[in-house]
Amino acid sequence: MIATFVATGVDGLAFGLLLFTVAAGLTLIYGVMGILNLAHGSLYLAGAYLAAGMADGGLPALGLAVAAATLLGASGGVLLDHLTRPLTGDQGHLSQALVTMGLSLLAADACTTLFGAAPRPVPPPTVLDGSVHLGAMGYPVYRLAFIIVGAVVAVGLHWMLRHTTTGMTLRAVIADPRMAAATGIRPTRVRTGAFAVGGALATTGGVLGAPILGPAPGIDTTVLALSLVVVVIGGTGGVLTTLAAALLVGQVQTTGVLAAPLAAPFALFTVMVVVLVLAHRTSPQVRLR
Amino acid sequence: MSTSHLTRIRATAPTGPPRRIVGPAIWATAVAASAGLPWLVDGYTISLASNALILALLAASTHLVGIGGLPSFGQTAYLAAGGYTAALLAQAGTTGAAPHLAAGILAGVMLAVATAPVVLRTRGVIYLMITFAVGQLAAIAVAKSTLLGGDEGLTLPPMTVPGLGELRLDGHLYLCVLAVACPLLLAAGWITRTQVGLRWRAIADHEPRLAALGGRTTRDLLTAHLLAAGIAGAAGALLADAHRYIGPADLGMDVACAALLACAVGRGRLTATITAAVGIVAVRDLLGAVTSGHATALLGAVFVLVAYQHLLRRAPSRPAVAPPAGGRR
Repeated sequence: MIATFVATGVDGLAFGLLLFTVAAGLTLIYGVMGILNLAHGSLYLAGAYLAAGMADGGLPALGLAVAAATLLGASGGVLLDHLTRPLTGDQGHLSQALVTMGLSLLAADACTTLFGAAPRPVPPPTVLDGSVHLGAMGYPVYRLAFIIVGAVVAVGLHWMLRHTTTGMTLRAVIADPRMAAATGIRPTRVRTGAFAVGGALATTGGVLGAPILGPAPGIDTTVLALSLVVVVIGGTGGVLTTLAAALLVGQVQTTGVLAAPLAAPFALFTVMVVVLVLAHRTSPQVRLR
Repeated sequence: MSTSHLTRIRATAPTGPPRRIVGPAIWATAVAASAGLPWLVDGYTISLASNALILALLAASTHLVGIGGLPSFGQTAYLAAGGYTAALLAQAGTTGAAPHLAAGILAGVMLAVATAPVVLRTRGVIYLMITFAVGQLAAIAVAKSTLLGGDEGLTLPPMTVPGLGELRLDGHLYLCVLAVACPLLLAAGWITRTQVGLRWRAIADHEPRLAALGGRTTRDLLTAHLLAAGIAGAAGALLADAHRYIGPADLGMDVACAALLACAVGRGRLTATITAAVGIVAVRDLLGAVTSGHATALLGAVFVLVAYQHLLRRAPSRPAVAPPAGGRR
C-alpha cells in the first residue's frame, strides 16, 4: 500500500515537473506584458503530435524532435507576439486573450483534421523504456529520466533569471517597462524573446511529456487549465513558487486521485481557494525574483 | 481599472417613446415567431432551436457578470451543476420539469456561493484566467466522477409536465424550453436596467471611483455572480431535459467560448447577445455541417475577427479628445 503511494508520488513528481515546464512559459509571457496566452495548451499539443510523428524508439529521434519543437514553439511565440501587439488600449489585454483563444480553437480543429480524433500513444525511446525495481515496486525509467530533465529545466530557468544579464533585463522590463526602456533596454525585443522562450518551453514540454500525457483532442484544454491553476496558485513569487505550485498540482492529480478519487478534482479548487484567501491576493503579480 | 469591451454601454438612460414601443414590439414578434417554429421547420432544426435558446441563456448569464466588467469563461461550471442535479433527480424518479428547474437554479447558485470567494477577488484578465480554470476543473471533475457517469455522462427518462404527461417530441421539448427561457431572458434584461444593473455598469467603468463614493462594489458583483449562476443552472436543467442526456462534452471549452463570444459580439446589449448566441448555433451547427465538421475552426475564426474588429472600430476614434455623446466617464 505504501509502496503504491510512493510509486504514484514519483508519477506525480514527473507530472508536476511537466506542468512546471508548460506553466513557466505561461508565467513568462504573462509576466512581461500581461498577456494571457490561451493558446499555450495548443503549443503543448503541437509538441506532443510532433513527438508522435517523429518518435522511432531511438534517442537521436527524440533529440531531433526536441530541436524541431524548440524551433516550432519559438516561431509560434513570435507569431503570437506579432498578432497580439496591435491590440492595445484599456481593453487590450482582454482582446489579446480573445485572439489567443480563437487561435487555439483554430489549432484544435487543425490538429483533429490532421491527426484524427483518436488518442495517439507515444512510446518512450527504447533505451528509456521499461522500469527499475526498487523494493516491491517498479518505476518507469522514462518518468525518472523526465524528473531529471525537468529538474534541470527548473534550475536552469531559475539560474538564468537570477544570475544572467538576460534574466536581469527581463526582470527589469517586468518591474518597470518604461524605466527599463529609459536605460536603453528595448522592451519590445524583450517581449518577443519572452514569447519565443515561453512558446519553446510549451512545445518542448509537449515532446518530452508525450509519453506521460499523450496527444489527443482536448489535451490542450486540460494542460491549459492545469497550467492556469499553477499560475494562480504560484503567481507572486517567480520560478520557485511556480515550481512549488506545479509539484503540488501534480501530486493532487496523481496521489490525490489514488487517495480520494471523488474528492481529487475538487481538491485543486480548494487549494486555489485556500491560497488566494490566505495570501489575500487579488491578482497573481509576476515578479520573477 | 480596466474595463471590458463586453461592457460597452449603449443606452442606459431612459429612452424616448419610439424606442419603448419598438423594443417590446421586436421582442413580441421574436417570441411569436419562435413559438410558431415547430409548425414551420423539421425536427432537427427544432432541436437546434432548443440548443440556441440554451446557449442564449448561458450567454445571458455571461452577460450579467460581463456588464459588471467581469469576462467569464466559466459559466459552464454552473450549467454543469444545474444539469447534473436535474439528471440525478430524474434518475431518482422525479421527472417533473418544474422541480428540475428549481433544483437546477438552486444548484447553480450554491456552486456560485462556493466559487465566489475565489473568483470575486479578481478582475479583468485574471478573472478570465480563474473562471476558465473553474469551468474546466468542473469538466474534469465530472468526467472523473463515477457518480456522475464519467465520460459517458448521464441519460434521463423523459421529463413530465403536469397535464401533458411525458414530453418526447422535439417540438414539445422546444416549446417547454422556450416557455422557461423567455421569462428568464426578460428578467435578465430587466435587472440590468434597475439600479443594481446601473451600478454594475459603473463598476465596469471605474470601480475605484464607485467604491470611493461609498458603493459596495464586491457585494454588487456578488449579486451579479449569483444571478448569473442561477440562470446558467436553469440552462443546465433545460439542457439535460431537452437532450435527455448530459455529459462532459456539454461543458467543453467550445461551449464556454461560444457563450463568451456571444457576449463579446453583443457588447453589453442583451438583445444583441441573444441574437449572437442564436447566430453562433446557426453558424456552428448548420454551416459547420456544410463545412464537414469544421465548426470549431469557424468559431475560432469568428473569435479572432471579433477581437480585431473591436480594434478597427476603436482606432479612428482615438485622436478625438471629447468623449462621444452619451459616452462613458
